[in-house]
Amino acid sequence: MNSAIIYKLLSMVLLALSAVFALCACAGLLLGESIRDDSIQAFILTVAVSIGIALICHILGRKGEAKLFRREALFVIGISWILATFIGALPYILTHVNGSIADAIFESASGLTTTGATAYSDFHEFPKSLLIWRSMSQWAGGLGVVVFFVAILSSLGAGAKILFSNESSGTSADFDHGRIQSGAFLLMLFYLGLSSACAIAYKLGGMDWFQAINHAMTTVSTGGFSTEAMSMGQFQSPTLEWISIVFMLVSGTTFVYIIRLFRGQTHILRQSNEVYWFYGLVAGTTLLLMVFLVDLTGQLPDHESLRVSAFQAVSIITTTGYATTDFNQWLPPAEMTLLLVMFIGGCSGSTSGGVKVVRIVIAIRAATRSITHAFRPNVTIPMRMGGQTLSERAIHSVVLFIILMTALQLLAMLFVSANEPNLSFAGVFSCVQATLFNIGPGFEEVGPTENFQFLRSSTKIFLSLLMILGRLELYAVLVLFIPSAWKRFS
Amino acid sequence: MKIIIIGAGEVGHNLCTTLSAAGHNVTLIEQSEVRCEKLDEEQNARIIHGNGSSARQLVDVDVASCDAFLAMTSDDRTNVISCSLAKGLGAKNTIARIHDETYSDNSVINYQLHFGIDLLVNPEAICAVELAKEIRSAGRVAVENFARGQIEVQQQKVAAKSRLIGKKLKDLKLDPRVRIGYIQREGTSEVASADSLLEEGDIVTLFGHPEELFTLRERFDPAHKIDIARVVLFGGSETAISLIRLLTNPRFKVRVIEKDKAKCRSLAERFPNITVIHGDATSLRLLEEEQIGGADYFVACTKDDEENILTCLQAAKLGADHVQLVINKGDYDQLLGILKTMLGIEVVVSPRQATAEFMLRNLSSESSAKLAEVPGGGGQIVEVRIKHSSPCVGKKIKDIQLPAGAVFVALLHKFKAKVPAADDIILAGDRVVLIVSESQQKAVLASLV
Repeated sequence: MNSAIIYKLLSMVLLALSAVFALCACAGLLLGESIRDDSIQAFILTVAVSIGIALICHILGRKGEAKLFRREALFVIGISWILATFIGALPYILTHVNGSIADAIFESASGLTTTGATAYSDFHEFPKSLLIWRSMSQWAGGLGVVVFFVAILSSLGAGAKILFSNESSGTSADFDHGRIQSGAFLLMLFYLGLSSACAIAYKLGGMDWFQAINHAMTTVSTGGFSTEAMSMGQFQSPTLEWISIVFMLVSGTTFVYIIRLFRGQTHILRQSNEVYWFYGLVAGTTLLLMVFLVDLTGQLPDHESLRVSAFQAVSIITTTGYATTDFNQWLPPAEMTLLLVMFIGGCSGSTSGGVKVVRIVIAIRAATRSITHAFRPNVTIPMRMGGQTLSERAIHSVVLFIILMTALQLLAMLFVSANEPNLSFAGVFSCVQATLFNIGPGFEEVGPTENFQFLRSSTKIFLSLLMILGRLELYAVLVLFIPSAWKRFS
Repeated sequence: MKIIIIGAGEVGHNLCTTLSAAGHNVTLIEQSEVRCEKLDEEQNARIIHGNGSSARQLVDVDVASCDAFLAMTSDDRTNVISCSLAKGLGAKNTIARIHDETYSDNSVINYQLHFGIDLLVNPEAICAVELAKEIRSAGRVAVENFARGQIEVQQQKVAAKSRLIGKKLKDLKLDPRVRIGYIQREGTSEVASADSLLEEGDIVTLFGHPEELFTLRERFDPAHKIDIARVVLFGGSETAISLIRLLTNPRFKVRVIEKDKAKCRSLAERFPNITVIHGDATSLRLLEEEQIGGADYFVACTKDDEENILTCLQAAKLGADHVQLVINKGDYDQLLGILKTMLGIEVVVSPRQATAEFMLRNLSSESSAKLAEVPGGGGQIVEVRIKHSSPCVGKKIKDIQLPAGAVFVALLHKFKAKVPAADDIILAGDRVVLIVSESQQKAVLASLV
């Protein structure tokens, strides 16, 4: 294994992180914190620590060639996400907020993986710099901490492609660009533009700049952290909720698809693809939730119930996890609907989590095909998606991924319930679901108005690992646990 | 620059690597799905599985916006169709890889014009030029050649017994296809003029057609006899055929060893002056039988790299004076140096590399490219593209005032290269090759571009 390139890339990730920390500290100073405040001191120390580790990595990796194969790429991603989670926890620990080290790690993982579950009940009283870090971590994690380097480091060559396709759920084939670097750069530009548009829209909708920027960062990354105690519900503003719905939807759509539309390639509209499935799913869920709301309240559907259902549907499907109402109070069928769409998630190549719509569609088609094959074994049924015929291998890997994800969820539920004997069944189920699929809120004890602070430390650490597993779509983390991957010859 | 490549064989594959490493936006279309998957992992380019000669596919990859379209499959017809389609759909520059001489024969119809192909490339021919360089001009001080071997630059010493000593250049009655550029005398060099006198020990820089240069050599150095060169080629590949064409002069005795009987027959029919032997050069007995030990040159140019290397070693051991070989696979690139230094193989040529260099030069957006250093540090050999806006368009060679220390070597007009005569007119789109001394380069380029 070429460990030099791993060290080299790790040191760059850490340097970038320290720049983000420095940015948070500066923002805090501008917003009236003093240099002697705990929070600013914490950030300074964090910057020092991450630069220190970056230096060590740099020294270890200064020799050796920049050849990046699959194994090295997976290692870089897995290790850098775990490392980033630990370093991202430092500001919470060093600011001496009300909570344990496990809380800090949980919060950091929840931020970077854009989950949006919080372990702090009093986060709205945090110093402003820490709040900015909370939102900023989601913004950076949304696109991926390594993707940024893919765009900058042209020396990585084709290795950048492996890095990119393992960190983001999209594939490089979606790009129009030959060089992965220019494709990733375009993606970053789009992300930046979307975030700015979102911030301005929030500001015009009635937030102050601080709230607008923070919420914009957590909306476009489909993270779901809020600076307010009641999340989006705090504002009691239908305008803001609609703005939020629109931007969450856009962020849950395949970015490259939107970019191509912007460039006038309208012919892709004619292809059947996952974006249509995604919007169909959102519409269907909204409709179902409205029906169940009628059951619950006994009132005919109006603008209010449409908005509430649409907001909840979009927030859960895109795995953002903002809340305007406590859906714990809803009827069980409504909860079941939400539970189902939690599993599905948004489009591939977006910032959202979950299994991704495209995989579900492929799996369902493969399943129906197998039923047809049961009575007509010789018929040949090609599988087409987004204008391409899928190879058997691709279908196979999709099905395997879903099996792996489900198995992991079931095993994780066993572990969590053994560790937390007092947690209700819905609580156990949804807290694993909410973290593994990077959603945020669950049901019952971990519902939208609750938080994860009451859990044991070991559970929180375990859930943090689940979040990273879910965000990186398993493989980049799972290889770290395969002993033969570490060996030189095997 | 946006570049589309059709076909991911050895040539296309290597071009893709080279061009994407140079920072170009490369799209590669390949028919085999398995190969696509492999390439996707190792190439920093967009790899598309599809048919490169389908118009729908070409529209899908937005061929209209591409700056260069390279059809590099091993099938000539696919390449011609792809290029023609691409041109029709709006590609700026189309280049096709062609093996068959049919498409370069423009006596009935100009294929390039008809199909809208801007440039025909034959990697095997480029490769053969490299191989022929050594064979054709052995013993010369230094050789550089351009325009696919049509023009050569050589340095020649004026020997003591030469009858040219003491004559002015205008009295030499040189062939119009040959020109003297520089005369180097006791460490100083001067640009040749009609009144320059030749002295013993001068080193003159000559340029012109290789065979003409060869006959001139006798006049400069009468003591040096022309000897017959015995050349043995192993393999009747495209490279071998191109090489045979370059070695048509009767002073070369060419012998080809080829495994395939049908190929042997067609070779023998096409080239009556060469000896074709049906057999396998990996067999020691055959090599001994054919007295490879007495050959001056042994060139292994089959498609099989491993056989090439081993037969070369065998031939060198049997006593062949010079051995050369062709390496097709890119994976062996790093072994080339070892082959040269440790195993005594003199020339190792790879069609991929030769093609990639040729392409890079053709695709570069710069108006001038440095081709080589003049041996002995006299200056540089530079190729300049003449644009429409250039001040020298439409002028005759004699009307262009070049500063002292710069000489026209070649004029390339629509794939024909010639030594420019005083009355030749430079047109837009032509390329000129010049020898320029370091200090004059800027001034010269300013007057041409």
